[in-house]
Amino acid sequence: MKTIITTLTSFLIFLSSSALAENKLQLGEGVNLIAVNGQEVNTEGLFNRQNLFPLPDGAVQLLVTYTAEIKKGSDTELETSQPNVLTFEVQQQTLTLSAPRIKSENDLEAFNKQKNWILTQAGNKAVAFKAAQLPVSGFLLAVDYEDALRKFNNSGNEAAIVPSVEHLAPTVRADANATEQEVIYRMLKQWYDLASPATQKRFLESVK
Amino acid sequence: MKKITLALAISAAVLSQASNAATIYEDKGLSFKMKGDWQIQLRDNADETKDLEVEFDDFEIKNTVTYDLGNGLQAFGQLDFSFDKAAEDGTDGSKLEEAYLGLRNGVVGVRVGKMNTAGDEFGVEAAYEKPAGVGEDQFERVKDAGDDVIRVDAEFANVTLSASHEVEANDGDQEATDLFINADFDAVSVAAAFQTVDDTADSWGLSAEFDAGFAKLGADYSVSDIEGQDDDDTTTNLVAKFKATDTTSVAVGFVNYEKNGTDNDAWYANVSYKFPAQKNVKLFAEISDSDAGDETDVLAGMQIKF
Repeated sequence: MKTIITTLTSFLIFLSSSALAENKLQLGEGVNLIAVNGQEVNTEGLFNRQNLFPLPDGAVQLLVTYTAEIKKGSDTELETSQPNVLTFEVQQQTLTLSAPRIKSENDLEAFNKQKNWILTQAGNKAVAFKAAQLPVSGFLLAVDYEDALRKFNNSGNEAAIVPSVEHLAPTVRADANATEQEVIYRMLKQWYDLASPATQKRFLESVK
Repeated sequence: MKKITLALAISAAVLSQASNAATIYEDKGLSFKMKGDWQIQLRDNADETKDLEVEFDDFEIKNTVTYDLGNGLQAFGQLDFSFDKAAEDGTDGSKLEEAYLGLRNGVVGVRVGKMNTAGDEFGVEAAYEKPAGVGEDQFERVKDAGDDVIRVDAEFANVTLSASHEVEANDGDQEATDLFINADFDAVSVAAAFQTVDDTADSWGLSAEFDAGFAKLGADYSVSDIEGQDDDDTTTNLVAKFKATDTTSVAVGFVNYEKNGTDNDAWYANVSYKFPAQKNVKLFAEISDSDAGDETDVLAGMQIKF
């Protein structure tokens, strides 16, 4: 048991240090950041909106929307894009995420279809990313985006990522009477449940 | 007591929920959005006989339904209720501002019902409230809405076209036709509008806006040939809009309004603050003065949009 705990502790220290790498994401006007790597983020302050966010090294997945001010007659209306999942690789960089100029509902519809976000690094150099619409449906007054992202990441979409340890959050708690094998069993089951159907199938074949 | 706790997670997952404010329902091609525009002002009007009062403006709730019919075709409809008059104790219940249904296929949309006419798209004016004795432009003055309107809107790359026609119904409204065209060229936008209202007036207008980086500058000029009137009525607007910070913007404007031989000059200046957490929430203040008013008009208010 002691060996397991030591191994896991080392693993966590490694993951924690990689997660604290000095990457930053700057949001352009109207860009709303909902989640990073499957976890919702709090972007709001009353008088100072946070628009600079730390990102871990490696694969990063953002959930974002864009709110455009669209002129209608002598007035303006606020229209928000569909929630988009953006996945890209980052290593020691400051990235900026913005949207193209959107002046009309048709522009917004085109943006929803094309997902032509503008993701750049220093020197205004474009950063490659994969984009997909996060499927949410039904009554949308209170969407559980973390749950929607978990399902999305198991969908096999090209913008899906392997969930990171931070947001998998499989806290395995063993009570006083749990045996070592019982703890191991629960861990295996949790990882299995979190795997995509394809990964589950691959795993089952490997242990036949 | 022996306890084994293996924490694989750095912290427990807290499933907070975020809301998508305007979209109430979306599934299987149906989308239902509720939009609101609520504004309240503490205003000391330019009319010296009026005391300081709370005014309601644009207390609107818009209900928009869109159906995806496939092959790029959409059906849409909107019901827009306004409660500002009810809040002022002027009327009971709501006033229906817009009620229409339409079809949209890519760049072209057609709608029928009660709505703003195409000429309402015209103008660069940026005041919260019109200074005393002046109007936004001649289209707003003569006719900017109707309840028997057929309207077509089309967008082609950088060009937007709108045309509307109000049929002559038995409700006393005159037949009216509007045309509006807008073209964007990088930092410059130009627009033109024309309107003819049977037995009332023919109007036309030109406008231009220039984004100079540090400020957005705009100007418009509109003219109405009013039936039975010797002189044309005209409106000229000059506007400059500055973004002082990410959250604070300033607009200053000059208006010249010639109506039936009477010439009025007016100016206004306003400052708007949008909360960083929600650009939908705005505080504002405005001061304006006009040849036509008894005194300076001052107001401060708050607006919430969703």
